[in-house]
Amino acid sequence: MSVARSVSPGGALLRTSRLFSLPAPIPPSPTDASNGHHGSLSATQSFPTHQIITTLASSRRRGDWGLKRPLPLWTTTKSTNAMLRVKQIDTIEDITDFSSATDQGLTLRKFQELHIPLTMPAENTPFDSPRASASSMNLPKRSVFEKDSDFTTLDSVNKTALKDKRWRFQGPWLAGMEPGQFAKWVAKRVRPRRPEFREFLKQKLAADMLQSTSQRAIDNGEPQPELESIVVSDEQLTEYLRRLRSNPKEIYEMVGQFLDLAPLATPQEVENNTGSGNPYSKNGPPVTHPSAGLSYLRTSEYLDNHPLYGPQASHPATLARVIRPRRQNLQVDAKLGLAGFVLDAPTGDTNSNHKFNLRQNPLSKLDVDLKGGAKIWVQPTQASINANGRVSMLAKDASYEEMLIAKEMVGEEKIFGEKPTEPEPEVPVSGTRETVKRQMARKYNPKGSSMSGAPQYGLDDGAFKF
Amino acid sequence: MIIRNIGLRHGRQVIAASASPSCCVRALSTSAAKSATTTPRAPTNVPSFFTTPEQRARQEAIKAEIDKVPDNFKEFRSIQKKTVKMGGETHPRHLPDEMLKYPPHDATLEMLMAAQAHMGHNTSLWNPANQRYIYGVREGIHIIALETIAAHLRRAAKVVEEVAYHGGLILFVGTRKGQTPIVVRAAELAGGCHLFQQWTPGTITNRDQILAQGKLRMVDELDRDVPGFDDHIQDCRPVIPDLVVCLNPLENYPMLHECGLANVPTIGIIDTNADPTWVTYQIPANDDSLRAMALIGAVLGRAGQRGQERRYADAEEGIISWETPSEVRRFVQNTLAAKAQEKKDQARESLEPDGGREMIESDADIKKAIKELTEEEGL
Repeated sequence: MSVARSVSPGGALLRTSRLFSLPAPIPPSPTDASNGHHGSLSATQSFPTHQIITTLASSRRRGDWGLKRPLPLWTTTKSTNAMLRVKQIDTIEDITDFSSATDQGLTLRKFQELHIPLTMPAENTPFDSPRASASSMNLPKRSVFEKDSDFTTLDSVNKTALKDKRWRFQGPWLAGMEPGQFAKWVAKRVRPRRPEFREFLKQKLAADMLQSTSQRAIDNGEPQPELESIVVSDEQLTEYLRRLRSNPKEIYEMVGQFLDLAPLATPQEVENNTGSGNPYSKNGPPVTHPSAGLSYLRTSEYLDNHPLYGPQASHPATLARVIRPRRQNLQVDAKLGLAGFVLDAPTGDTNSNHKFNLRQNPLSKLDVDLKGGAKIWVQPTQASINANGRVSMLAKDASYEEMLIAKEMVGEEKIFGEKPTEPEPEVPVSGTRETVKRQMARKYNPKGSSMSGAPQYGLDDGAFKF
Repeated sequence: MIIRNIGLRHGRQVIAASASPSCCVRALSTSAAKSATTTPRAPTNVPSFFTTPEQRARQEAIKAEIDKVPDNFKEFRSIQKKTVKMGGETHPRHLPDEMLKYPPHDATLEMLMAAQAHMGHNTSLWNPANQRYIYGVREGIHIIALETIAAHLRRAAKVVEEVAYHGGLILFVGTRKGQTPIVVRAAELAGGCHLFQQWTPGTITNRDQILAQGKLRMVDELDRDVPGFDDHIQDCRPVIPDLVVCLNPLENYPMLHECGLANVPTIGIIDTNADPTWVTYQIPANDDSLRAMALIGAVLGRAGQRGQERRYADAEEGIISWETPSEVRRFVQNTLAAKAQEKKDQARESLEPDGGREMIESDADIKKAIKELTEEEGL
């Protein structure tokens, strides 16, 4: 046990202070413009790199954020939410370098309102096309916080044993390196470690030899040899090296262990789209923890309770913004914005993809006159973090009932205690176009006349109403 | 709390029996698979001629119960409002103006740290003369040792207290934005003066010109005006402070220089980029934070207040902690001598000789003489 260093009372106090407990900033995503990547410098970063700080309302009015100096009120009191990120407490220009952090702070809040857990990325598909995993969309994914995938502290033994499960590696992911980068890395980081690698191989060989000699000892009924008693001669090592060189797989294993390289998928695996080994072997390990700190939920398999209608089979529906409508002739798919993240529009046989909806569907038509843009009700299903630290989400269309209930909760609809406009003609068949049509007819034709024209979309509030 | 509402608040059964559309009433998870496949049924709207009178009565009762919800809620809120203070009161833990409203007598390490007094400047902006005050580097800035701040603040407080006790004039200077209430409050506590606008250069070295319009008072040990000194006041030079407390020395170099020329001691907040030799008594601290300034100003103001209180208490007992300035003493002597001469002349004229006065030496004699003077003038 190490003896605790004695510190002055003031020093001890400073160590426990909030300023000193601010975490150090993490490096930005490799694909961000702030990291030299091509793109907009003013765009929101893929993930926050600095701790977001806040202050009390009364202190914010005075500019007091607990920093060296009061911050200018002009820039810090405009926003509803007191959120800042401080890049430097004092610069040589005698100012505090800070910027508003409401972009990422509010995104976090919105994401946490969705109550969806972060799951392991789909192993067999490229990260950037969640569409590819649509077939397995209904299968529950494993949370990143499950015991068999969440490794944050590792010792040297675990490092090798958990090679196919962990997400953090000291070495790079070779498949993601440019040729120039690779050459530079080899020259600077790998070449100087040659003698160290020979020593490493020597130990491996010694362990191998120990195994064979101990087997021989067992067969002959002799005492077990010790590892120290094994002497590896230079000739033996050279012979071992020659043997390794003719076996690329084995030498890659050795080099990978020595440099702690992130695992690579074999060409066959990539070609056949089969998954084995590390879940990050095809797309590279993530730059952050696989949860990115966005959510600490382990599952979304719980029941929501509605104050009037009781337990619900599904979670409440959410409004998503239509960022880009579908353009059939250009083969461009629609994109949605949900809780600050961009995702693909739902696929499959769902409300927003029904043929009869297509004519005035906000997903297929851009309505520039609509205030606030078009929105549709969706049900987020899963989210995961890709290799660049970005969030990829999947959502499906909310059903008619889910949408009604969600709308009633925000006061846009009234179902409870409402008198139906006409008696029920017959028990409709589930989920068919006829059912929805009839329900719409009842809703929008109070007089009970036959349905005429298309359903209404894009009412004043910008919501997509059936 | 309200028993008659319990059915509404807990009653899924009640709701289930209501006119709500059954399509929205979902099953429990055990039957979720079934409910997912069943039709999203439209509201079960049984025509009114099918309902029995009992059912109708029951539905009406439920509707009446629901109609009462707003009133019940109002009542609930009013009761809540009345009973919210029962059992205990909550007080705001954080008062931004605490230092000005309730100035502390001493600053603890915790208070100094909370007031951000330890945060120095960027490490590349430092003045190496401040090395002795610096505890370390963190987040790119120098950290000033809290113990050093506390020790220097205590020393400065002692200086302020003794200057106040000896009847000195203390000037609090803080010319940065936001320091106005701090210096005003400190001066109010210590019975001194404050300056929150630019120091007019030459206010000490050229005071005969710059402060010519200023008014002077002659006061006794209890700070009461003493009459009979009008002639002397006309001849007096404007006063200079006996102690200057400066919250931002960097912007007030001309003032500190003049104080140095006039031998006026100064107390200054020295951040890591300031020159500690500009002031007589340094307080190493963060001069940018208004909270740190408020704390230090409050502690120094309190020290001045203690000094003044001690001075008044001693004066009540007849102990005068200050000496009469030599010019005043000379003026009193001269005036008394002139009066005596006048009396002598009058006595000689009336052939009634009167004894001359002895020269005045002690403060007690001056007091007596001043008393005589005031009595003669009929005051």
